[in-house]
Amino acid sequence: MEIPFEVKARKDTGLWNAKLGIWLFLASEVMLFGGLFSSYIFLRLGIEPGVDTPWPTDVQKVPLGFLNTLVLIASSVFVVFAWLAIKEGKWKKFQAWMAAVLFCAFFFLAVKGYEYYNKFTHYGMVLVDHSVVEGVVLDNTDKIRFEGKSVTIDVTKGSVEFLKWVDKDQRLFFDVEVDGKLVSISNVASWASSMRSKVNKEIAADRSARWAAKRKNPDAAPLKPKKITRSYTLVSKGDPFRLSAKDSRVSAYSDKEMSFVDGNKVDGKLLGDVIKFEVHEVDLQMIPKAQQDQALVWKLINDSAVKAGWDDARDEELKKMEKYYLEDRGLPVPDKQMRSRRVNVHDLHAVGKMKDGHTGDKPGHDAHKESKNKGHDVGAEVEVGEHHQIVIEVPREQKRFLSNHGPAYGTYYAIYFTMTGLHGLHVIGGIVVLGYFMFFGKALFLKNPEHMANRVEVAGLFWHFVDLVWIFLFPIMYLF
Amino acid sequence: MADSAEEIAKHKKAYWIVGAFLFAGTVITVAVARLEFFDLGAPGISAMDVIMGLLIATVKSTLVALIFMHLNHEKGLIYKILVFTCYFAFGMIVLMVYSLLDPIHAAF
Repeated sequence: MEIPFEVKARKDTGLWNAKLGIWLFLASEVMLFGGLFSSYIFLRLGIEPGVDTPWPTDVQKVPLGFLNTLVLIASSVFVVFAWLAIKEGKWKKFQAWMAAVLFCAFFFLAVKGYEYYNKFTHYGMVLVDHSVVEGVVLDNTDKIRFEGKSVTIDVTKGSVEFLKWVDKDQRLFFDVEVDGKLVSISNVASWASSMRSKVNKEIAADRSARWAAKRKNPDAAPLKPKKITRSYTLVSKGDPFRLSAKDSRVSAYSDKEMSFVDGNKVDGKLLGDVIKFEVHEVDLQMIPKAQQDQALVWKLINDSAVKAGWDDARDEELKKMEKYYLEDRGLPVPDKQMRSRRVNVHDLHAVGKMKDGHTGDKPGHDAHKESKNKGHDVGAEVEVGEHHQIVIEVPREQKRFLSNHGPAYGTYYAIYFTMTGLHGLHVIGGIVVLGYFMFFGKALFLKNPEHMANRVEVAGLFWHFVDLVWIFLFPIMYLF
Repeated sequence: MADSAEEIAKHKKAYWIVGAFLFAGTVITVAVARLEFFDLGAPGISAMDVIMGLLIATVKSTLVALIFMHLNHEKGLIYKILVFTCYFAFGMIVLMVYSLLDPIHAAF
């Protein structure tokens, strides 16, 4: 069946149908992204520096965002030329331009993927005094490490939370005494499930029996519930098993036992609960300036050279502020600027250099060299991690909040992932449509080139819109 | 959008120039935000930097819309749709910003 107005314009609208359709769709997209942008503006303007969650204004890798912006602009130019090639009746040329568009699109997604990967592997930790350290958690120490010899499970719940946190390289074999017999288990989840069904049936049968007895003889003393074992202790047959559990799933732990939120209780030995953290950045904007010298993070870093480097960086920023406000304009530095991230954040990526500058490099002493010395102070080597950064050990009770830079880390990251994720889905949608035209569009092109040109135009309009959204996303998410 | 290939061929050069403008706009935005030499207003990111950055982004997006999306010569119905949409989209943004001036919000 011939669909009308695919190529020729309708008299009433002056447009062919798909064109009207895509503009209506783009109008709805304007509203969708408009809503998200207005949410962003609301959150950004509503932030009180140093009072609310620290607003990370310079955490993005600007060169990557910059590169992606150029790539997307280039793809927008290429898609116009692809459409033009179709209008000129040159299929091969169209395919070449479209291949360039798709290359740009995949490149964009690859860079975005790399950025996301970095976000999910970098962490931020808010300490109890509100100082913030950012960097990398080492050796899986964000989790509580425990060595279990046995585990007690309430089978009526059927939940085996502890299993999720057992280190993957181990095979578990347990012995458990059921009804006076020793039973060997290799699949705990399946055993717990079958026991749940068995025990719950026993409980139901006992309840029914007691109700039946009461109905039969209402005046008799009620029967006592039958003793049914609900909790079973599974003892490891081989070596003790190791667990690394997220603390939000652990209800309590001590040196000898660890209880999970579902009631599983593991007996054994605590291996460690100290968080090993490689510090890339110190952020003190949540701490009043007068108290920053006593911040907990300095006690943990325990290196006066690093502190001196931080002081220098902060003082340099303050001098700039004072020159701008006090010297040039005779105005006091606004409190907002004093609390801003720029003044209160320092990147420790050049720890070695910083130490060279402040401690004086001794002959033959390489400040970049890795060392495992602890109890360090001026001039001493500090423990450094895989990125040649300082490693601190944070007792768990000194941690207020720890998360990777995923959406849970703060409002900025939540809206960053929402907006860039939604934009990324649009890029994927564009790839599917443009790729389809490139690989499967020839038949329509040969049959009706104008119709094909119209299809490419519609997809091109969508692609330009995707570019247009990024033009705003880049400055607000990466630069300001 | 233009009706014929011949007509559009005349604009080939314009497309490249617009592309170059978009590249240049991006470079300037990054310079304003990151290079001290181009710093506007107070040191670091100031309101002036943000205004300049968003102004450049607006110019860039206008170029994309007018030239690449051919809104510089479209049918009236499309303009009506867009005006209707933009009215509500900007209204939403303005209301959000306005809510920050709300005396009840300020009290908290």
